[in-house]
Amino acid sequence: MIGSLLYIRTRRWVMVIVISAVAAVMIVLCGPMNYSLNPVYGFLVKVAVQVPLLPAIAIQASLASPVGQQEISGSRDLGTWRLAHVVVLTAIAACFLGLAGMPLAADVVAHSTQGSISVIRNLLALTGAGLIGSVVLGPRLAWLFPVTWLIVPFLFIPRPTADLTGVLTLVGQDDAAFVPFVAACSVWVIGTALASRNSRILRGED
Amino acid sequence: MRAYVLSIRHSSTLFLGILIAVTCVSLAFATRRDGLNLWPDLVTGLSQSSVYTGVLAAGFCAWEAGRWVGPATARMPGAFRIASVARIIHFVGVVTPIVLGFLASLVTLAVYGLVTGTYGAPSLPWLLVLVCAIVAASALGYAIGVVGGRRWYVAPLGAVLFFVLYVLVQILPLPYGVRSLYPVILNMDSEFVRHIETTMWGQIAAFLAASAALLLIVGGGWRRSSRKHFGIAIVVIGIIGIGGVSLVQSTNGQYVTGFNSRDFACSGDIPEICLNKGYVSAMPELARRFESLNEKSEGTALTATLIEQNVEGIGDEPSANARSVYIEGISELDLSFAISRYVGKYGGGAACNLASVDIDQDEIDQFFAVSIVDTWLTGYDAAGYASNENSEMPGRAQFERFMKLTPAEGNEWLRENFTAYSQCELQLTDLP
Amino acid sequence: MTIPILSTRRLSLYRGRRCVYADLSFSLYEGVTVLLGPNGAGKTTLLDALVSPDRVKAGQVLLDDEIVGGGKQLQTFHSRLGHMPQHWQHFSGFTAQESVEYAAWLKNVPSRGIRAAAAEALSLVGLAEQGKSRVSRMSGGMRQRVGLAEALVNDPKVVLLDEPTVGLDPAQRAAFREALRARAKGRAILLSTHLTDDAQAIADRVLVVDKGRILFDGPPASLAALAVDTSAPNPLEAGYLALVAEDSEAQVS
Repeated sequence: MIGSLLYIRTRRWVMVIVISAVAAVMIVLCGPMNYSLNPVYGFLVKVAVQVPLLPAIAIQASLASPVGQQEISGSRDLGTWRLAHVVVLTAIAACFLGLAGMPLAADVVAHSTQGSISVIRNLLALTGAGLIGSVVLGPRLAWLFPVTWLIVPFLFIPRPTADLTGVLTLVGQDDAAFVPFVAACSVWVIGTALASRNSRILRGED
Repeated sequence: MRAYVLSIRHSSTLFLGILIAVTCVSLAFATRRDGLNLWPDLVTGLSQSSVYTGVLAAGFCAWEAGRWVGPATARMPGAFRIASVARIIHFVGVVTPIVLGFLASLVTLAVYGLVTGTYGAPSLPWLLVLVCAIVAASALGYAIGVVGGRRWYVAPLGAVLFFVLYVLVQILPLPYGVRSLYPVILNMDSEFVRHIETTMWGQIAAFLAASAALLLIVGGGWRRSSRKHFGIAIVVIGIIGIGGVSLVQSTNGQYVTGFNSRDFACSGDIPEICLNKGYVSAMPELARRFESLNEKSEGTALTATLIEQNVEGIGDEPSANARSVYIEGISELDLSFAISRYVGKYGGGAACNLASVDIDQDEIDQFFAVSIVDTWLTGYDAAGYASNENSEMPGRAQFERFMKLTPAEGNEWLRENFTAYSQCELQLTDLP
Repeated sequence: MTIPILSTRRLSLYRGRRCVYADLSFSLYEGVTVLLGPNGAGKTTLLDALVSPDRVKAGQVLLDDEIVGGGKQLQTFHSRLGHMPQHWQHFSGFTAQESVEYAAWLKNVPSRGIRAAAAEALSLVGLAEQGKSRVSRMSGGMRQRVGLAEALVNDPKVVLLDEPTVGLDPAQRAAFREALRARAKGRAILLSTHLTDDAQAIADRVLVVDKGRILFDGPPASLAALAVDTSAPNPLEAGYLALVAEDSEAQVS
């Protein structure tokens, strides 16, 4: 028990949970507000469905250890702990964001087709992307992957549809978009699996 | 100099420079319209990329600034009259690969333009604004990194904060002159514009002044005993910055104003079509469509003899005896739409103005009757009959019959009913 | 013949493409062995390889004459290893007690014994009264001793310390050496340093390395005997300098 609590503290769980809560509040405040992410084509993206970027990056960044050298030379296998870390924090964030997303879908006036499912889907996708980024680029630059996924497809694809381009523009897809949802879950699973087995994540200081 | 070189070698922004170069070139190419090869499209793509490249620059520079802190670097400010200079040298070393990456993309596009004969030329102040925007984004991130240090959230904070501020700029009801002060360039270039360089020079001054001020302040120069030099630097930067902001405000951030250079290439046939030289590839297909229109409208005022490409919305002033055509792109759909707009402007549709309240059935019938004729003339489904096959729309039976008319049959009917058509007084019962 | 506690067999280590050590073989026995060498000699590279033998591309590391591989073998090896890296890290939110408890947890010390083990480790390094102090607010010397406590908390057979006295004032260095000396019995301690004072104070044996080779392996007195100027105030330093100079000349010729 002592060790578990100490592990949680080194991974800044409190900070991540606070960020998730703040993100939930932001989703409620943003409501159906949208804007033109692509300044040229004017395709509108709801602000609320992009907010999951914040807890996604927080979860990924919190995996980096402040005492990586001690953990590398430790005899305890932390793979299971990292797995539990990601699963539990993602679940907590999903609860917060899912609740906050419910008013979005209920907004009949705005003809909203995005709600809790979109928000949770985006959280899974962006978290998974961040975790894959941790393995490829290290924990300090891993944010590059989810940020790229959030922005770049909308610059290249002026009118997203629900086919393969729907996976790329996943963040802006409707609740009912099945393939993007499956893609998001897959990315999260892959990212979580890779991150739990990769020791590069331990090296917080590059 | 050595400090500068070492900053470049040991920074991660070498990788970022390559990423920026690839992104800018890719977006520039992706923004080209099918069949067209225009420099304004490439510049528009470069401008789009500033959303993403700004985020990257801010994040990477935040990280680099944070990890520079150490026992050795803590002694460096003491070597300079203004302590901030040490930080500025490091910043310049970090941002150099980023700027070089962007410049590499410009060189690539320039070579592409030379080899493929891309029409037009980029506005050099516009390109300089893009460079300064990246520098400003980098400076913002760098300042966050100096303040945050090696903390785990510093790099993502730089990136996310830049993006959040961009979103705020987009959603808040700010005047355009204020929006233009954020280092994301939201403008579209076109071959039918004149550039307002005052705005661009104002942005350049504002972005560079803001960057310098941020670096001087977070670099700790104000703590040193030689505050006089720091104060002078801040005043000079302030004057430049205020000047830049004033320029941008004076034009309300406007980048372009509509203008037709009339740099035409003409077909020399009847109907004669004069298009901007960048759109010459559309000439054969457009000529075919106008010939088809002329065959159907022969003997009426709708027949075209001289057509010039013009820019709708700036007065649309073709030369004497010419009519204008407005082209957005040269795909099948775009050209059909161009003909449709022509017919809508010079045919019966121009007289069809549906009132916003108390629309009676006669007005609706007249609107749909003219739409049916326009659809037959242009091949563009203006009223939406083809895309709403199962819906109950007025005049569907007339639409089905009219589409089966040959050009000769339709032309005979049009001559007899042209007056009613051109004044939007047709009834559905007038159609065959 | 005494079985070495830790040994290497034909170890070759690289930094990028540069070969730092080629076919290096040596053994550590009970007591304090000081690894001496100039900056850039590869002391940290060697210690890192001893901490992570699974990443060594050529050669072997042996604990009690058994080759250390990956997986469970590595976990067992780490449970018997104490390590204090050159740039020792700490979590800013921990007290000294919590920092050492966490190290104990990482070393699989049984949960019930973690608190006591951490308290004992702090006591060994003279920080029994500072357990509740935040590590981030401690002086450099005290922080280094917390790092030493972490390295000793699991009662390791092998202790690897990478330049642990850098940045400490003389009094802090003396306290650190005393704490280390007190725990040398029954363990192999390898301490890397570029300060001959450390070797003078606590070494049972000295290894001098430079340019990927062991130049000297023996007791401190034998190294001091190599000094050209026998009246030098620090004979060990004089002997070290003479050895390194002679080796440089031999390399040039």
